[in-house]
Amino acid sequence: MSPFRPERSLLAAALVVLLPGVLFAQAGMVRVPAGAYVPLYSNTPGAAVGVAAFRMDVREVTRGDYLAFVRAHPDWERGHVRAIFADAGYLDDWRAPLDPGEFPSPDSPVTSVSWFAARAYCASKGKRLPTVDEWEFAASASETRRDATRDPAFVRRVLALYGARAAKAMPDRTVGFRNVYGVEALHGGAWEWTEDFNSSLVSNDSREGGGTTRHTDFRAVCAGGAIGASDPENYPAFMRFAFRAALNGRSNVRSLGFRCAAGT
Amino acid sequence: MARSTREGVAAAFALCAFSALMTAGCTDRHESGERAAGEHAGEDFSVYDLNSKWQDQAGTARTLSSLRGRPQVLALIYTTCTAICPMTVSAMQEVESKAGPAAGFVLVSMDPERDSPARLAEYAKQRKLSPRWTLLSGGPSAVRELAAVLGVKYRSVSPTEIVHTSALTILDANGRRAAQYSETDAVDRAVRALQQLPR
Repeated sequence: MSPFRPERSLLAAALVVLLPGVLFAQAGMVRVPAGAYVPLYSNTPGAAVGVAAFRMDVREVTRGDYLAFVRAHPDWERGHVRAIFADAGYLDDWRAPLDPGEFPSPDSPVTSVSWFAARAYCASKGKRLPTVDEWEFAASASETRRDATRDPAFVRRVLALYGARAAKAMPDRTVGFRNVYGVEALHGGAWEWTEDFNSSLVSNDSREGGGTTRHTDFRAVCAGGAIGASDPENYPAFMRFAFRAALNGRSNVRSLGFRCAAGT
Repeated sequence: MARSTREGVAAAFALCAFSALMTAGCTDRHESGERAAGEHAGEDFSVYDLNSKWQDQAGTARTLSSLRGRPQVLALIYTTCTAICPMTVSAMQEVESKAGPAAGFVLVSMDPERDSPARLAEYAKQRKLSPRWTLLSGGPSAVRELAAVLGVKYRSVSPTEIVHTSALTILDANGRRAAQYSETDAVDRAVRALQQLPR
């Protein structure tokens, strides 16, 4: 019988704790520690919402990544995908169902994928889409600060990135910056899907019978831009909320991609 | 559909940019929330293609496709909601009394944690819902999916409150969306839409 060696147990415990972190880092994810942020719209404007620690992909899912997924899951091939999961724009910029084409490069973010498709991709990796709260929280960070949303220079820079995005036919994942958590190009590449993209409502007006048609929603969101926003200066956040409000689960947009997240 | 999505996104920006510039409130939020009956005709997908798992108020395992076979009038609600949900349910009851027995009625809970099948059964009793009503409880992911397809938006804002858009959706016998109304005063339009559907 060997005597009990506490240092060995400690070493083993340390390995158990550290090893998953190392493995996840290899899988291209980083840990975003818990914190809080102030959503652009909420029932109690200005109140912070807690966000639990989670992991997030460093980069957006690329066309190359998505091609591998489609090869392994033919149900998600263009032409095979069920109509309930994606409208006719699904991967319509690919040269062929199994060929993204040469431009942009296979390293560019995959776009023209529906919310259902993005969810299926993440699930195939044992991951999920980030929630709006997680995404917005991570996207509040600059290279050096966890919350840079009150920094006018940061806000201007994000707006410039969105402007550059709008000017391009296809997003490029090399545009943007790596934030303090190590997440890259949250603002630079494509717009990104979130799990609860369809949770954007204008404070509590919606309880009183706000519409569900697209145009009605636009107006509700617009009105909210003037009335309900916690931080009217944060125009980039307003743009993201307006963008999400225009989507449904089957939508495919050429500037809209995704990255995955997971619990810690 | 693809094109309309893109145009829709562009329109959202155009509208928002306009109103931001003018700082004009978009005051006609309640205008024209109706989708005309038949507007969704030709949609090439059925809600019944979602393969999510649910339980009804009897605790029986259900899929959405188990609702197939007759038109259904469907809404997302939660039973502790005191704002618009009671009006939505009342509107559906009125549709039921006017449209006759041909349709079914479905309430899907947005609050599956609280709305167990037993709680849904209790609610059905309280609201005196007829046997033609199916009340469904499913996981958060199943609810999010259905809402994503129907264009319903919701978000928990406190432990007891969910803000949400209200919608009455009419599905044909095969689960294709035949019409959708966002106002609870849409009873008569809903009845007409139901009467136009093949039985």
